[in-house]
Amino acid sequence: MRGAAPFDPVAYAIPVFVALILAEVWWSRRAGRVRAYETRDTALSLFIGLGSTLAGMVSAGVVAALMVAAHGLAAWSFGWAWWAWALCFVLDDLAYYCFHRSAHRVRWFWASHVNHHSSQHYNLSTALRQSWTGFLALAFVFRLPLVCAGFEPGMVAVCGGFSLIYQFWIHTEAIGRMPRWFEAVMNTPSHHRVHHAINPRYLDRNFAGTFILWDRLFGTFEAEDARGQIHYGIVHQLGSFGLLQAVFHEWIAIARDVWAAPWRHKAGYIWREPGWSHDGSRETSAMIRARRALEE
Amino acid sequence: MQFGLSLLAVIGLCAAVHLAGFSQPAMLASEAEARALARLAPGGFAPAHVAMDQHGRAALLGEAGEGARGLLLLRPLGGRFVPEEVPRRSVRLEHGRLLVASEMGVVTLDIAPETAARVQAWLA
Repeated sequence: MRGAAPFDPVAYAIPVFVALILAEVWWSRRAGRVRAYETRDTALSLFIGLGSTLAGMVSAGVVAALMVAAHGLAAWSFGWAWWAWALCFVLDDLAYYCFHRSAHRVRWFWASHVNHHSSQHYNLSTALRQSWTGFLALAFVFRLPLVCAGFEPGMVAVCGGFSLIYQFWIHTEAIGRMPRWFEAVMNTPSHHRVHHAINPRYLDRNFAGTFILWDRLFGTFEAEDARGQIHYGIVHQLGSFGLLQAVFHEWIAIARDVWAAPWRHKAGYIWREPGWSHDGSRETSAMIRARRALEE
Repeated sequence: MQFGLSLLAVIGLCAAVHLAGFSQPAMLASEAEARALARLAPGGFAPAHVAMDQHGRAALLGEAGEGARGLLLLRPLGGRFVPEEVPRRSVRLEHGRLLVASEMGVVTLDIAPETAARVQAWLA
């Protein structure tokens, strides 16, 4: 099977995504949750999603070539054994955790990932708000260690696809809590609502893709407090339904900051965490959490 | 082919959301809600004063004391509110209405007469 074109599970899942969004719309209406969706917000999410598939097609060839080249450096290959699939899925999820945490802690990566967080709503359409600039932000780099370690590039791509499919259903307020054992191991709507929240105590928490175990293991887990209201979006809300602004606003902000900064601080606006500034005039998520802790 | 079908699905979903009545304007239920939203604004706005539109469509908030920043406008965007810091000079009180110049145009707050009196005091 070496060299065979991998199938794309996400393409097969799209009709299911559409059906589930319709089901959530129907449920929200029945439950009287009149602000669960907003037409322009949904349109923006879906068009960003559509654009991300086109952007992905443009860069797919280069990414595939890099993955195959990196696999060529591997000392051995695990082949296509069943256990290799299972191991690959788990390790790919760890790679996703590393990517995702970096995407929130390094502004260059954040500039791409911020798209996914820019909605002030939290529903299944938000899940499709995917990046157009993942290639520019070097998101694929985090999967290279897997192919270098001997996993087939096609296997890594398929596992990544299934991970993306898994993460779709957790973007909802329609589900409260799953059974306790499930909440302990898997990423769930409850855990991921925390991740999308801008409430200070929730900032930069729950980076998991499929298994919440990574957050529990690396100290980034935060449980949802059912008593408090969650506010979604980004600290500096987008304030617009403009497609291009949504997709490129952080890249433009980086360019402006780098241009305006003194020479010795320019790089900091690229590789430091979002909110960092050389004169301390802005707040990072850690600073926001610390301030709120003092206020309380 | 796949792109065309996806585009059709996007248009269909948007139509479904709209037809299901999900284009409700944002609405503030109380001053407490406005204060809570202000505290989430960048820099952590600490509101001492609140002037809220009588129908909950927007709110203007002010800090008190030394080091007080400008004002914070909660302007509606779809079904949610966006906080925007505005200078005092961007606020006008006309015929019992507050007109606030924001990045996205003028936001009008229909305020109660007693609120208007309060606003004049804390804007002074």
